[in-house]
Amino acid sequence: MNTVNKNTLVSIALALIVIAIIWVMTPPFVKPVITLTLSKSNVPITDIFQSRDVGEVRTHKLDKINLHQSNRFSHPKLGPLGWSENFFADIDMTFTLEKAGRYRFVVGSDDGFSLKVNNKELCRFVRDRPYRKQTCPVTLDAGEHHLLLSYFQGYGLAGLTLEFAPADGGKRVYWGERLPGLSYTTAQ
Amino acid sequence: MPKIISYCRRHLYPLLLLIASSAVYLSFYGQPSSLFWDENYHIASAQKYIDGTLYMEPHPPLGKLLMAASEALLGTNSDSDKTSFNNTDYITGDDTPEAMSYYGFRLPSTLLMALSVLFFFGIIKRITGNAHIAAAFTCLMIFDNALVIHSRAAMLEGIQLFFILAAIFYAVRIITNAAIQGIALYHYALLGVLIGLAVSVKVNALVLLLLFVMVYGVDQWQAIKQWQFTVLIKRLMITVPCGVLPLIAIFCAVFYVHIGLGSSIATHSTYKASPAYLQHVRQDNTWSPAAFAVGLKDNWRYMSEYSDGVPRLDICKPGENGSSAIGWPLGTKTINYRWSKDTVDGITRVRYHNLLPNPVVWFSVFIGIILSLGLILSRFVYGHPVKDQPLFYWICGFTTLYGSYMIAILHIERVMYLYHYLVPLLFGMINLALISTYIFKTEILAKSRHFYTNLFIYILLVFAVFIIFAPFSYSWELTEAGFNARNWFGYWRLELVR
Repeated sequence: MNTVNKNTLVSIALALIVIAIIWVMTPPFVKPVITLTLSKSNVPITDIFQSRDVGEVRTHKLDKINLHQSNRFSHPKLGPLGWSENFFADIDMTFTLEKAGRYRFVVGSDDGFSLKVNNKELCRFVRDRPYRKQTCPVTLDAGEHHLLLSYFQGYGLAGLTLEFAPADGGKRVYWGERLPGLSYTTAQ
Repeated sequence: MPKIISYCRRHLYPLLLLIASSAVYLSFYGQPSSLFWDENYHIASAQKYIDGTLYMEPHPPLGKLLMAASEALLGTNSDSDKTSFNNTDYITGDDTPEAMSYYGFRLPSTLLMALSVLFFFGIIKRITGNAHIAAAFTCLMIFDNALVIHSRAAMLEGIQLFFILAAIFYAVRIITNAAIQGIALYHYALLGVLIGLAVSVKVNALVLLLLFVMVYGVDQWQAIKQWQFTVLIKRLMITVPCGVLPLIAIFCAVFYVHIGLGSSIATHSTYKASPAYLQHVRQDNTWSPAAFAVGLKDNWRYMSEYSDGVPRLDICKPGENGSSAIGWPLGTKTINYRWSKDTVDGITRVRYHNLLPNPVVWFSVFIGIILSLGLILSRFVYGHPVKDQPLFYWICGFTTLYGSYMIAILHIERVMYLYHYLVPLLFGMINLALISTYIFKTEILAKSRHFYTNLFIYILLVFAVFIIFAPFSYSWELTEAGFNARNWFGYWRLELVR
């Protein structure tokens, strides 16, 4: 190996290291579609409807509700969110459908949750449990609708997912992802 | 112009390095103003010297003696009542006086570490003969986050590393001057004194006995080449006592002071001191030779029993801070020394005080060791020619020091921690400078701009990464996002505080 090659190789190695460091240090970014509000409870949570005694509150802008990675309340790109135990998560937003029809929400949670659309509760699991999915069918008109999802993590493993699909067996997507005929009011 | 360059090489580099190391190591070293890691033990021990209380512990006394001397001289806590430190071996925050200053106890480790960059520079400068290379690679020592956080504390490593580098510098000086003035017996004796000082802080400095082998090898190189066993053994019979006796003398002298100062008995423990030793203490006779003899024996036994009682590494234990030496070169596992949390307007900021490496420095050192092993194998196994014989032997020497320490550590059964790697890390840093000089010898001789540009960028990179991880070294506030951005490797096992 001649002189030029050795120095050039070192230069390339240094450049690669600099690029790698910039890559690692750049904060992860996702499209801000949904506002997720996390509230740390000052007392243990055992029931989604128990009266809230909240301390620290955090908000996150997410691209989708897929918060179940390695049995933790964790986003695929943003990593773990919230705390390890005793917190609430709330999503309060509007969405618009182009077509009226039957649709289904699929909620996966560890621990409990409550899902309301247009102030009508579609489904719930009140207490703590391991991660399970629950299908919640609903008939919706074309136009704007209001969605309210509440979730709690008591202790141990955690996770929350929300999926949406037409009831006729069409494509199912995580809430926040693109689906023909569905649009979200982007989080501010 | 050449005169200016020559002057810069000789004086400006050491001065600049000293300014940089002082800024990095000495600035606000009293922060955090709380105890962390082994400070709980060492400050309690050092205070016992100030108050004249007998104690024993697993490490030799020099480090704590220097901490006590510094605390007494600075007198930053002279108005505070620290007598409770005498009645325990492990102080907590509840034992410390309000507004306790840590500047006195932490000064020896911090100051000596800041000064030791001069030895580091001198070692590389003497071996390579190139001040630019020496200055550049000394920056690795200044800007390593693990060395910085662990030395800015009332702990033993900063003090020990100073004496280790002093001993290495002196050995290098002996060898590089050998052609001019030869190697005399007093060289062995002075080297023994320096090694003795390092061993009197922590016994793992015994790896420096290999320096005697290196000096002896150069001293008797002609006899070795001609296999003159009689000559070699005769010289050995003289040089071994000349080197080892001063080492033992220093070690004993340090223990003599330690035993002499222990003139009262603590209320919580007699440290299994024998009745004869306790009798000397009660009679206020601790400076007598008889008290020294019995005290040394008791201290030695205590150190041995304590060492036997230290638990083994248990990676299944929740919160285990220990780690296997195998993973140390890459930084496994980091240690969260302490943290504090503050939440304002829903944003949590945490001040971490974490032992973690500067990955550019540690990975470079590891690569340097691999390259050195490759070079040594290529010479001794494949018979490849060596392009710089003296430099090759220096590389062999520092690679051997690194390897010997790591092999010895791997045989220790008790739990060990990442900071036990700081000693071989320094060997590895010196080796990295040497192997780089060896690989780029032609470019250095040709004063290649490309080589020096690369070297400059590399040092900038070391500095930039040091700054990136500085929040962990100086307890600067970090948000969760800031923490995650710095959590580069899962095997570091950094622990997020929420």
